[in-house]
Amino acid sequence: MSVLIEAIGFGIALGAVIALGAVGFTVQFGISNVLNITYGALLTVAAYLGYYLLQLGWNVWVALAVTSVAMAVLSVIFNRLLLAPLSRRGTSFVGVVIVTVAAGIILQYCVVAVAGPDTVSYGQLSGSTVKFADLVFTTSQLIILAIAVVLMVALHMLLTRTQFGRAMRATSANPVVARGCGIDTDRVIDVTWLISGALCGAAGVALAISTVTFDFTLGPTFLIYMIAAAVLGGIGQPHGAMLGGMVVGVVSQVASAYSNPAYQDAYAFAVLILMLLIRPRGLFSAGTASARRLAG
Amino acid sequence: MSSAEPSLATRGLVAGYGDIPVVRGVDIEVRAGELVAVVGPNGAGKSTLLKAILGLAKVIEGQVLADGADITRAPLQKLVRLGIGYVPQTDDVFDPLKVRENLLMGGYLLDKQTRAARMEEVLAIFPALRSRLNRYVGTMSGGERKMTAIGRALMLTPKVLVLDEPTAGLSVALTEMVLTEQVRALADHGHAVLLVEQKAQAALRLADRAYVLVQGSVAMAAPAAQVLASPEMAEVFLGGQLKQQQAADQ
Repeated sequence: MSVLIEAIGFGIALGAVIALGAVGFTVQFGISNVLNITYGALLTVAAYLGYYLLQLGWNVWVALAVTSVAMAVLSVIFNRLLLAPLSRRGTSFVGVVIVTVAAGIILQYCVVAVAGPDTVSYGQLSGSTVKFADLVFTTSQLIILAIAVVLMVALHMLLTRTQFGRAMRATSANPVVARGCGIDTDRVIDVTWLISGALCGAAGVALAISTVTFDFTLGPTFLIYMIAAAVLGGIGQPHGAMLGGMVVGVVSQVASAYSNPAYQDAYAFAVLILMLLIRPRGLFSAGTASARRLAG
Repeated sequence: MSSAEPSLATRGLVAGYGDIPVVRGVDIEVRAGELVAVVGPNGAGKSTLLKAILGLAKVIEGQVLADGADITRAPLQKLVRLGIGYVPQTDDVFDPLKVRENLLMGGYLLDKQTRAARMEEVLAIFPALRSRLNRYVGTMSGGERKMTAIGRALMLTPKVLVLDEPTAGLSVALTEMVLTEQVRALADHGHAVLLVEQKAQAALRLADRAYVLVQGSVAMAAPAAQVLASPEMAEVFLGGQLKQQQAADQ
């Protein structure tokens, strides 16, 4: 029993990190309808940016906040300079995906060129431990969990309770009609990339804290978990991505506790496939263009 | 009801996709309180004409005028600020949003209080929507969706309403209801309504004036009743569709 509880604790901690990235990914994909594989490399960039700020003697949570702001700006620039012109020229959905894969690889090697191929570490940041009903968490894990929950709730409120949030969902569902309502869809897309970039920055630093040591492969390795969490939760749904992240995190850690840890990913993705067979559009379908594209 | 300048007009409009013209030198106009139908066979360029007016298809030559002002190539989000509302043929609503949210989006440019007041006015026009305000539009019937789409376009009280085949995919009964109770009523309330409709017979019965578009050009511009009665139009330009419908009516 204690093994199970311990594994669930690890799973929740991992799930919070996955959720943080998945919430950013799902909002960006759900609203702008771009399956941005570069997100993985951007996670890596964020992790290294946080690392260099720590080297300058910054507090890790201040570094996380500053990295989020920097990644938000970088994401908007990335979209405006590369992806938006492609969309304007009528590049297909798959064509844009391939470009994001290529951009991700290029960015990954830029990281290697600057930071080198060796692993680096933020050092020992876990802090003291806190016990909740037999679940043991470090302070860092709890802070990351709290950040993920607060950002998820804030995003959910933005999307469902504010006129600008509704405009974001409307732009996602039907950009032509959205423009016909007077919505400045370009501004909506900019804000979407800004939010997604900020979450990517926070997730990159959180990943680096959680994994203790990392190298240039950090982001792409975890991106697949984040995409799985986003799809599982229903594309465009922040609370779905949060729950999806938790499911992926807990299943992989529990499976790892009771079997060969090498198979943990197989169990996590088997659960994903099973759940999608039952609910093809994810747990909380948004009916966005991107969700329809994935579900067929 | 007529004013000095038409609410919406095109002058020698040539438009299409890339450099290939689909619409060739079209002059049309619609005035306040008038329902003007654009009819014609499949591929005549009716929808392209609307898209060119709305900045969604390439204008190669000519002008689009609103109250005499040149709005050629103006983007859709600017046109809506000038009082031009648009309901596309399909994909005319926000499926993942509730009816209430669709209407709120229609009033996006209004302040909160004006938006709430205007929503009440729109619900008075479409009382059937009141009990469905919290339903997601993606789960509703074709007629309800069309009501939501037109209601959404009315939120900004447009001077001109451009409707692209509002009865597409609807049953005969719903077609009659949408055209009579919604489209005609809009013109009677003072809106200038430009209607593209594949169901020519039904549109011509209700319209004030009509343009018959054939191969991208205006083949006939006349009062709708005159177009409806014209055997030449029925036989030659509408592929016998009107004649068949007239025979069926008798």
